[in-house]
Amino acid sequence: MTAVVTAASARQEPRGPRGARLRAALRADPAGAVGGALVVVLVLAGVGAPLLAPYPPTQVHFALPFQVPLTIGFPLGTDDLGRDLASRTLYGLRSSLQVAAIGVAVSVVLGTLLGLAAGWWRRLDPVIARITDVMLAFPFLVLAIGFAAVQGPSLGGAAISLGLAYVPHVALTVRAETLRVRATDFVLAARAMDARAPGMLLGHVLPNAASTIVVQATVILPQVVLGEAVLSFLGLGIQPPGSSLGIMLSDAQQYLYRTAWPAVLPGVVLALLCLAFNLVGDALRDRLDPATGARR
Amino acid sequence: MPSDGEPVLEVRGLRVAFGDDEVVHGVDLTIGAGERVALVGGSGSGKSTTALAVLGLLPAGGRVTAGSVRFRGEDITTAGPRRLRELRGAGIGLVPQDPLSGLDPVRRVGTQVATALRAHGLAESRRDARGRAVDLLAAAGIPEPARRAVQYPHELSGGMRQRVLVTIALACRPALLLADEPTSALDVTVARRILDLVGELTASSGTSLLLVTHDLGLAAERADRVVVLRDGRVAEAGGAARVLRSPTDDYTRALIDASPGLSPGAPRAVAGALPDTAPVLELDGVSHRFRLRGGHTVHALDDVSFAVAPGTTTAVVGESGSGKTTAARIALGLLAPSSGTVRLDGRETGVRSGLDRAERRTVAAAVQPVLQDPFGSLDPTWTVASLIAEPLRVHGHDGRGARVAELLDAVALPATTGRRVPRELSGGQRQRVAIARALALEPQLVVCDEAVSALDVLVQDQVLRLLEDLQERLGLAYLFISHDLGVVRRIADRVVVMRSGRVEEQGPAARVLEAPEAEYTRELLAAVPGRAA
Repeated sequence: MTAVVTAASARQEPRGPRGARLRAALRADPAGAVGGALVVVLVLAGVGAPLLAPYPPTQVHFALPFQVPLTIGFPLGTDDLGRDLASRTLYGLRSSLQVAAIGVAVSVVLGTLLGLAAGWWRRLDPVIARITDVMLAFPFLVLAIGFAAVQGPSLGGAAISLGLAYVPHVALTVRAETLRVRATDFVLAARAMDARAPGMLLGHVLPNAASTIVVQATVILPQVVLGEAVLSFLGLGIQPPGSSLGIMLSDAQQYLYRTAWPAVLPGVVLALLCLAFNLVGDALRDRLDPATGARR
Repeated sequence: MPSDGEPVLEVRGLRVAFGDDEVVHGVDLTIGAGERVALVGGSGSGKSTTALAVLGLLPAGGRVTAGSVRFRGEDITTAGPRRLRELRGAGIGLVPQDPLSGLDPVRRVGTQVATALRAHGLAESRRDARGRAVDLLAAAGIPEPARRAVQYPHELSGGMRQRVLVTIALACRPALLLADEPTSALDVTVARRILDLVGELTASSGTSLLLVTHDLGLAAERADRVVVLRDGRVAEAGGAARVLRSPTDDYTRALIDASPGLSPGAPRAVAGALPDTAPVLELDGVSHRFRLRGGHTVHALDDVSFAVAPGTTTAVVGESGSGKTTAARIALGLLAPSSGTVRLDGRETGVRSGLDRAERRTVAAAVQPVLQDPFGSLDPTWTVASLIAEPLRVHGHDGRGARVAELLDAVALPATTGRRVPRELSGGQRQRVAIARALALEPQLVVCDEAVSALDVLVQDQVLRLLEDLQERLGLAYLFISHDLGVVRRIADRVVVMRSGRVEEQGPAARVLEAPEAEYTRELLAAVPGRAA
């Protein structure tokens, strides 16, 4: 008991100016820090694409196809239609991030609502469990094809179908957290003061489940980014001439024997994006999730 | 074996630090062959850290910065991991605190004993180890050892599990047995039997004992010498009887005074007028049945009747499984009795979900809980001020800020505590916050479910004093659920002794505690540590 208390106090965040705390966090988890820096750079690049890109993403230069990187005027070269690869990659990154944001928002919001309901009201639990089972049984591609058939392929459709595909994952974790928090003494105390269910769910359950939900979101995010690339590659997501990392890969594939650059660039950005969010997710899990080790 | 006069364990000037925080500041401790030494202190005194350092098992971040630990003359602070592994088990056995997490849930208990034997080469074959394990379990007083050996930990009771842990610790005949709060998770009567067992087994094999505990009464009863630790320093050391009778240190004296087992005092005298006042809460012939899978029914409560008079304390005493927590839930209106009636202020209430909203509010405001776990009963994501204001917010009261300040003052917490979060508070402070929250709605009755049993004696004493003081000032009635008769003796006006869902005996505290009628009450009283010392 004593050891636990002292160990916990020894583990407390180092106090002091922000700089010192940041340095301490960097020392404690350099991989997470690198991931965090990458996320910031990539998000800024995506958001700032219209300012950073030298050309509009769809502007063609038929006279200059297949330029290699470091060509004057086209820092990263051009594709088969002479479109600037740097500009297309930036805009591709932008749409990937848009899909990721919408997809994660859909899965987290719906999943959290379902999970809270399933964990709190025993009667709803089996009903919601069956719904999530059905959703888990549906490959997201099938869902996306269905969406595309009804709505026509689009960025929004791809994002929503990807988001729906990850609803069960969030719902299951949130349900488990809800069951845990529901059994705590502070919820018992809240019941004893006649608190209403919505108040307890918002006041007690959600804040205590928040760290788990955040970690879950960082796990889902790179999967949604990859999913968008897959859907766009198959023509179910963003439509050409619009740019997305998946479309760039799909376009480059036809000319792969001639030049690899149009495929390498979006591939590298995609890999970096997923790596960055995975690193941040791992770091957050280590810091926030009591299940995978002590809070540091 | 150590030669005559050479101590089994010799700790000199031990300093342990976590990061830059030193928590043990030069502790000296010597244990001779066959000697029983108790290491006593409140939480944060460094007693567990010292014990873990002896085993070379400090948690991550902890390290010995100075001093030496000599086991049979060998300095083990410098020993490598391999040598330490040899020593643990074979040289030093450990009985951990928690019998639930001390055993591997997916392995049979006999196998776990056998593993200890095999790890130190004390059994030639698996079959041999298994046979020896059964013998050892039998020696530890486990009935039907052959059948028990093939069971899993969850199939055994807490006391039985602790017996298995004692068996494992002693399996390799260590020279020193280290017991870290071995009974704090057990019922008193079970705890007594476990300590008897440890005493017998160590005495028969000549094993030395280092008993780590926060309970001075228990230490004095079970050890030859007592070492009292305070803030990582030795406050006092000496023969057990001497330390108890004439302590030289103020801290030791405070521990003795605060220990309900050691300084019992007279039970509260009961005002003769009690039966005339209408009770705040009355349970009349209340039963509660759980239906298990397969159609079995369990009687958590069976025809239980008792009452709490205004401004007095009724204690419900019993061991785990006695139904006392079920009684508390029914008193709070959170659980419906299967039969019988619950009256609050003379009005029949039953379960809250059967009432309309206004009535439910009235019941909630009249009866509020203080729960056992000072860590679990406060939402870690809330500040103290919002925790205390929660009932006010739920009931839509205005002027919450002023009321919170008033309540913080009532439980003797500084006003600045309001901005802190539970993590930053000590166990005693947290329990004060829980009390303030319970008082927010100005209840007539507070249900204290083991409200002080997770606190160490000094803090427990302060919280009990606060509860007494609040009772006097606000005319509160308490339904005090506890397994600790020492605490009950101090605070209760009436005592209800429960066992297996039935009331064994009830009456004024003085009568029940001084002249118990039921055999079970006598057994409980005899098990309170420190009474014999």
